[in-house]
Amino acid sequence: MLNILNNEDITTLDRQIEQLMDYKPIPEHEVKQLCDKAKEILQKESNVQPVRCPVTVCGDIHGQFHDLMELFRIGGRSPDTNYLFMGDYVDRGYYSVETVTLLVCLKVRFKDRITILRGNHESRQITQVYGFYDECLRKYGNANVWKYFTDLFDLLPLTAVIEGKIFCLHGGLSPSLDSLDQIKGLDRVQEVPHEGPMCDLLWSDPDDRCGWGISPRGAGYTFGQDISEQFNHTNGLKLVSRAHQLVMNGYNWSHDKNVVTIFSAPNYCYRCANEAGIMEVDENMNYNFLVFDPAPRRGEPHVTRRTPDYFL
Amino acid sequence: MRPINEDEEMDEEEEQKDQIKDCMEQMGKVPMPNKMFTRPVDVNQSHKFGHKPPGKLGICYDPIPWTEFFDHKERMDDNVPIYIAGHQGHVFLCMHGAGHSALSFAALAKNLKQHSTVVAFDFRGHGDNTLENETDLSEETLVNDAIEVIKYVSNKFSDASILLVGHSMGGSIATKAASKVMKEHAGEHWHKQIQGLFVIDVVEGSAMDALPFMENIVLSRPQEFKTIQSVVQYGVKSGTVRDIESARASMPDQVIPQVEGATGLTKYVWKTDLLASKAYWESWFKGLTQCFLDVRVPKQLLLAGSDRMDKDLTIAQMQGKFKLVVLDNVGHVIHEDQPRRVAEVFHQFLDQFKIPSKFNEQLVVTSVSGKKVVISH
Repeated sequence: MLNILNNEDITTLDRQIEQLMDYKPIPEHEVKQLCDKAKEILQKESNVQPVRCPVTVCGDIHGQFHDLMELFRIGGRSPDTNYLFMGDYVDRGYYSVETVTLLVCLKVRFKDRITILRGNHESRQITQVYGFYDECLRKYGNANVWKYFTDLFDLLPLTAVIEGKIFCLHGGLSPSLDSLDQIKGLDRVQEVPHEGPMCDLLWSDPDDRCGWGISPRGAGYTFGQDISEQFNHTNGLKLVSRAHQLVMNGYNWSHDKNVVTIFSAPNYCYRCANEAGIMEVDENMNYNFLVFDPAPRRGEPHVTRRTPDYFL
Repeated sequence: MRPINEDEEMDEEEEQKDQIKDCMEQMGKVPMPNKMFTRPVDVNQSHKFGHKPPGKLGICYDPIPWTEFFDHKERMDDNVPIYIAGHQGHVFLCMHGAGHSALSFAALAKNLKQHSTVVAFDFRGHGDNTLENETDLSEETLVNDAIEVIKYVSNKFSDASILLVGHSMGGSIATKAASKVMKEHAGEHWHKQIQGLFVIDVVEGSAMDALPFMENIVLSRPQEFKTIQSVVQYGVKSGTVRDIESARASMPDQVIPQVEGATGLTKYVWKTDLLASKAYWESWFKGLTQCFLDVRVPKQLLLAGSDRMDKDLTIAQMQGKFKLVVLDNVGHVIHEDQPRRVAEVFHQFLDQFKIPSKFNEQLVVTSVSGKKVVISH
């Protein structure tokens, strides 16, 4: 395989990774170069990116950089451990910039050892409401870095399949899509649309009710066990692994073990008191779940709610 | 309501909005499909309703009659005033907050009535409601009153989808009424007409946190006004309502004239004695989150700031149980501050949840391979 990195690139990336691990963002022009390199890599990836085992599968991070460091302590450092992240790197937490920059650095440095998929928050619209846009303005004084990253998000693969057996994606299934081949045929290089198959993959949720339902989120759909079983059967899969929903214990089986939800942001939004989880898939395709609590903090603003000045 | 904040710098906020907008335009990026930054009502425009010359800075505080916003007013059981705007599409049934009245939804109605029907009523002890026991604002009484109106409206618009809308106390009552209807009237045809629930700026946890401060906030309001214009002006200057046209429509309905025996002069006092309802405050909001999550219709929570979320709702939101919309540069009475933006949010909701205007239509999606897939509501 052709390696697009020269020695200088490797030195730079290693320095950037070290700097980020020390909670320091890299300069704007370096972000631009990084995103340009990442684009070259990501545009060659498939909508259904094949991944080899062993690999450790992770859910939402949401800018909780301290907890991402904890994740690497628990799961092993990249590239010693192979990783597959299922989206939602940014928004809500205070370190979206550091989080997404580090993951993209790792992707460029070790492209065959880490896979990063797109989540519904990897979008221009959502990041303007939930924090990443404001954080970029705050940390860089302008919106260029936000633009570099959101342009890059358009290229992130939508789904991945581990050894042809475990289908990984951020949200869930779509009533418009029956097969992996149909997903491969989607044109993914665009802002996440408001509806349609690409939107559904990033927004849908499993549900206790059978069949398809309107999603309470206002985007994507809910799908029942009958739908998951049929999809796994049709595509020769064992499991749908997805993120997108907070689960109090870090991971949660549903649909008679046809679907697993993994959520990797502990004490989400600094107030939900949930554990985080990751799923290790070993060389024999056995799964093992690791669960962890929030990491000790430094330099993070203490969260207090203003006394509301309103109402009745 | 909120206390007067003398540091309020509306102009500075406007300027900031313009800067953000400029920044986005420079990037060649339109921020949202809907308009993020709606300008406040043009004061020169709203002057056309005025009878007196405008006051300082050309701002007119004269009341605007309900007929400028609603098409029709009727009384349910001779006592409950019901205002109706528009005559087609989905029906938005709106419940106001404590101390407010149906006319809190006047400006919103004007922005929705072209394609939908807006119905708003006065709770007892509020606005033009003439029910006896006007001080009985217990949760149970208000929920039962609300259910009577829901029945009345579902009968009047018998094939339409109804969306319950509630602000603050009204949001909690709308939610509890919906929950009670689903439980106790499950077999009846009309309950199926309820196809959505919109709650505006009330969250159980933060409401409970705020309750201890409410008495002082209520007490800090002026107790009487010499003119009706000064009532409107108070609404605007205190930051309670940030849109002048909305304030001119809604504020006059919160007071009643009172003639002083000695002087024969008319003064205006608050219609609703909020302090007298203090004993009920906690009951209005208690259990709101659970009820909200239990009601199985599409739901939307519209907040004036994300810090108003509590733990339980943050978890539920992150589990995809409802749709959250956070608007910036608005106060507590979001639908009065930015009626146009709120109307857009409502239309988006109908679109995203594919809610048919006739409640029994079926939804079908065509798959990539051409297969028809039925979606259940």
